[in-house]
Amino acid sequence: MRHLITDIFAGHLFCAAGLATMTAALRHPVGSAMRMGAGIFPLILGGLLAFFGLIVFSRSAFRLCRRGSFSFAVLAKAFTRAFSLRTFFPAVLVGAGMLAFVGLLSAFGFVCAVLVLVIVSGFAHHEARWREILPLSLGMAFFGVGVFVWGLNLPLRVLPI
Amino acid sequence: MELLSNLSLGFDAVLTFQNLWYCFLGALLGTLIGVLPGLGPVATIAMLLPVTYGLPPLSALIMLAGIYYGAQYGGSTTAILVNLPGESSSVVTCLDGYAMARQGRAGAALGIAALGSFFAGTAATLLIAAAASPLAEFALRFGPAEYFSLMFLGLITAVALAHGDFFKAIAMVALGLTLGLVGIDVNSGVERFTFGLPELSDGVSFVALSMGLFGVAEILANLELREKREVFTQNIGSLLPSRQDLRAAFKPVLRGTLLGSALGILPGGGAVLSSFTSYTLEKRLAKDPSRFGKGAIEGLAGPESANNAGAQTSFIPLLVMGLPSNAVMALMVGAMMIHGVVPGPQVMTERPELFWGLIASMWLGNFFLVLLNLPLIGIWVRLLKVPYRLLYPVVLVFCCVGVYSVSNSVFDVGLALFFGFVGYLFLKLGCEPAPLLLGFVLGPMMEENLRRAMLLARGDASVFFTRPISCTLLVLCIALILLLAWPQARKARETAFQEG
Amino acid sequence: MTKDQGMTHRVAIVLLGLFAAIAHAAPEAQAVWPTRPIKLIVPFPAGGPTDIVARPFAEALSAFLKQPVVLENRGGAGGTIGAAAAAKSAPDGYTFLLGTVGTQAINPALYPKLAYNPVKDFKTVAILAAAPVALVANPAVPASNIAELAALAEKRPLRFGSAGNGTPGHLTGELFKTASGVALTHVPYRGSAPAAQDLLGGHIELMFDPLQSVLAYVKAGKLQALAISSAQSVAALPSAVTFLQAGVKVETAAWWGIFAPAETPDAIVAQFAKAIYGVRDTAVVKALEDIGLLLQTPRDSRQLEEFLLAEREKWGKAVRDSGAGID
Repeated sequence: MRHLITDIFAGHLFCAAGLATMTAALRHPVGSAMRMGAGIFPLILGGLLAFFGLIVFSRSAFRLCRRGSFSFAVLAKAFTRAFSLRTFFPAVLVGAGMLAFVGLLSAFGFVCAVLVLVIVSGFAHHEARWREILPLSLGMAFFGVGVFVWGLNLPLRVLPI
Repeated sequence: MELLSNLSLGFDAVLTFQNLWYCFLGALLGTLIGVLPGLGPVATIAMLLPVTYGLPPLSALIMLAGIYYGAQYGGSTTAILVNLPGESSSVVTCLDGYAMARQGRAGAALGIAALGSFFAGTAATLLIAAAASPLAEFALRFGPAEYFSLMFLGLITAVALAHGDFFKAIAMVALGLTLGLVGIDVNSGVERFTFGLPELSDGVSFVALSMGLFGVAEILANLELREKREVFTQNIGSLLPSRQDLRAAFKPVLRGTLLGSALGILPGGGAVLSSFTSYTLEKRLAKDPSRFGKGAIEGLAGPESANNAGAQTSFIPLLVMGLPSNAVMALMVGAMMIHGVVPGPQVMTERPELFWGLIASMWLGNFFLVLLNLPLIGIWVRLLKVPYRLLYPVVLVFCCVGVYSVSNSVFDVGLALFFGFVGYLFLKLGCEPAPLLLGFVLGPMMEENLRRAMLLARGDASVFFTRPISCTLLVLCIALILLLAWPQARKARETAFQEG
Repeated sequence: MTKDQGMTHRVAIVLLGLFAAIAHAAPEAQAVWPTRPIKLIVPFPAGGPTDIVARPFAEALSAFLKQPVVLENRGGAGGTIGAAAAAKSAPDGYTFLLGTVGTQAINPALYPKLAYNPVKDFKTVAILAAAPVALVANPAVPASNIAELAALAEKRPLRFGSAGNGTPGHLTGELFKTASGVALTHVPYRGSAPAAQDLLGGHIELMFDPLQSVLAYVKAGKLQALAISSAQSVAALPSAVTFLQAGVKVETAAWWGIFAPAETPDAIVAQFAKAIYGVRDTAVVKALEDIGLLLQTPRDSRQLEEFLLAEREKWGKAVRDSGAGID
C-alpha cells in the first residue's frame, strides 16, 4: 500500500518536472528537420516526462480507488509522516554542515570548514557523542590538510589568517 | 612475426629502472586518486603535468597513463565500499558491489573487481598491440548517425538497469536526459536552463550530480534509520573471492572484456557505455535476473572488466590518430605536445619506441595494480567495521573536497548538496538514480549527434537506416525493446489477472 | 616611575610606532617586482591549446624573473569565468590573465551580458603568440585550392566543421563565405578533436581551425591544407597558400596574450612585457614555432591598443554577419 502512495507523489513530481521543462523549452526555437532548434529535445522530453508521470500517478490512483483509500486525508497523513521534522532532522543537519563547508572554505580556510562540517553533520546520527565527534573532526582536518593541501597541492586556503 | 618484434621493442624501452619506477608510481597515484571520491584522473594529470616536464617523454606518458587506468581500479573500491561513484564508469559498480559489501562480501567484491580488471586490461593491451590501426580506422567510420544509434541503444540499456518499476525507470531516464540538456547547446550556441548562472553554462557537473545522488543521498537515507541497525553487517566473509565466485564471474569477465574493448575504441562516449551495456547483458543472460541489484557477482564482474578494457582501448584513437576519446586523453594530447611529441598518425612510424613502449607499460601497469590492490583489500574491508556514525562524516568530507577540487568551484559543492536531497527524495519515492545518471551522460551526446546527423543529411531522416552500422544498431535497439517489453507485458497481464 | 619618565616612555613608544609604520609602508613601492609568486589565470581547462602556449612561457618566465609563475586553470563559459575572475583580482602585479582572441575580442560581440569589460578591465601586457586559421579538407575531396573549391561548391553541398560557435575557426569560415561567395554549411562541434575526427572519417568535407591543431594531419598526408588565414606564409607549412594569395580578402589569427587588471601600475606592466619578450629565444618557447605557432614581436602600448581595437572590430563584424550570438 505504501508504495502506491509514494507512486502518487512520484507521479506528481514527474508531471511537474515535465511541464516545467516544456514551458522552458518553448522559449527556444523549434527549428526545421534539417536544422533542429534548441527547443525540440526539451519539448519532447518534457512531454515524455509528463506522460510517464501521468501513467505512474493514475496507475496507483486507480488501485487505491479500488481499495477505497484514495482520499486526501490518507495522502496528507502519509505526506506529513514521510516529511515530518523528526525524519528530516538528520538531513537538515547534514545539509547545514555542507552549507557551512561551502561558506567557510574561501573565507576562513580549509581547517575551519572541515571542522564545522564534521561536527555539524556528525550530530545528525542518533548515537553521536561529543567525545567521538570532536577528535574525529580534528583528525579529519589534519588528515585533509596532509592529503589534499600538502600531498595533492590543491589550491586551498588552510587557516583563517 | 611483426607483432612480437614490436612488443620486444616496447618492452626494451620500458624495462629500465626509471620507466619501471614511473609506471609503478603512476599506478600507485592512480589507485589513491581513484579511491578518493570526486578527485579523478583529469584533475590529477592536470596537477602533475608540471612535475613531468623534466622527464623524458616516454617516462612522462607512462606515468600519466598509469594514473588513468590506475584510477579505474581505485574508483571501484569507493564504489563498492561506500556507494560513491568517482566516475561514470563506476556507477554500475555501485549497484551490486555496494550491495555485496553490505552483505559482508566486500572482500569478494573487491577481489573480483581487481582480478576481472586485470584480465580485461591484459587482454585489451594485446588487442591494442595486434590491431590498433585497423581498429582506429573502423572507429572513424562512426559518424553522427552511428553515434546517435549507439547512444539510443545505450539508453535502452539504462531502462534495463532498473530493478523496480518499469515506468518509473523510463521517467528517471527522461529526467536524466533533461538534466543533461542544461548548458550551452553545441549546435546553436544558445544557453538552455541555466537560469543566468555562468557556472551552469557548461552544464551540471557530473561529479557533483553523482556524488550527490549516490553518496550524499545514501548517507541521508541511512541516517533516517533510527533503529540500531548497522549499515554493514559485522560478520565479514573471507577476504578473497571463493572458488564459486570465481567460477560465476569467469564468463561475465570474458564478455565484459570483449564489450569494453569494442566500445572503448569509439572516441567520445564509447567507454562510458561499456559498463552499462555489460550490466544489461549479464542481467539478460542470467538464469535469475532478480538477484541483480542485491549482490549478484555477475553484475560486478562484467562491468568492471568492461570499463577497464574500455579504458585501455580508449588509448587507440589517441595513439593511432591523435584523436582524444575523452577528457583524460585530451590532457594526454597536451602532455604529449608539451614534451614535443605531436600526436597524430606519424607517432607510430616516427617514434615507434614511444608507441610500443607505452603499450608495453600498460601491461606492466595492470600487473602492478593487481599487486597493489589485492593486499589492500584487507585494509579496506576492515574500514567497514568502523561504526557508521564515525564513517559517514569522513565520507562526507571526501565528497565535499572531491567535488570542490574538480574545478575549484564552491558552486559544485552546493549542487552536490542539492542533488543529495533530490536523491534522498528519490530513494523515499522508490525511484532509482542509476538510470537517471545514464540518461544524463548519454542525453547530450544523443541530441548533439541527432541534430548533426540531420544537418549533414539535409533533413533526410532515412540516413539512420541507410548507413549500415547505424541500421544494425537501430535494429538491435528494436530487438532489445521487444525483449524488455515482452516480460513487462506478461507481468502486466498477470497482475491484471490477480487483481481482477 | 615618575610622572615625567612615564610621559617620555609614552612619547617614545608613539614615535617608534610612527617610524615603524612609515618604514613598513615605503618598502612595497621600493622593492623590486616580483617578490613573490605570480599567478597566471588560464580561462580554459587544462591541456587545451591555451595551456600549450601558457606552459612554456610560464616555465621560461619563472627562470627569468626568479619567481615562480604559477598557472591556475579556471575554465568555463568560453573563457568568461576565468577572465571575469582575473578582472576582479587585485591590481598588485601578482595576478594576470592569459587572454585569448576569444576572451578579449570575440566574446564582447558574442555574449550580450559579459561579466567583465575587455576594454576597461584590462591592460595589455604583451601578445605572446598567434596561429593562423587553416582551411583543411579530407583528401577525398576533389579540390586542392580555393578556386577548385568554389567550383565544387556549385555542384554539391559542402560542410565545414569548427570547434564551436563563436570560435576563431567558425568565424573565419563565415568571413570566408562572405568574402568569396562560396556556399558552405557550418557544422559546430565541441572542440577541435571531434571535428577533426569527423573530417578524417569523411563525414564532413572541410574544417576551419587554428593551424596547430591540424598540422600533424596535414604533414602526415591525412588532410590537405587548402589555405591559411595569415598575411604571409608560415615556416611550419611553407607550401600553404594564404587566403590573400588565393584572392579572398580574409586575414585572421587566433592569438594568446597576457593581460593585467586595469589598475596595475604601468611600471610593473612594462617590466613584465620586457621579461616576456626577453624569453622569446629560450628553447621551450622557441619550440612552439615547430607546432605551427608564430611568436609575436614586441609592441609598445600604443601598437597594442591599435591591435586590440582592430581585432575587436574585425571579429565583431564577423559575429554580426554570421548571426552567431549566445543569449
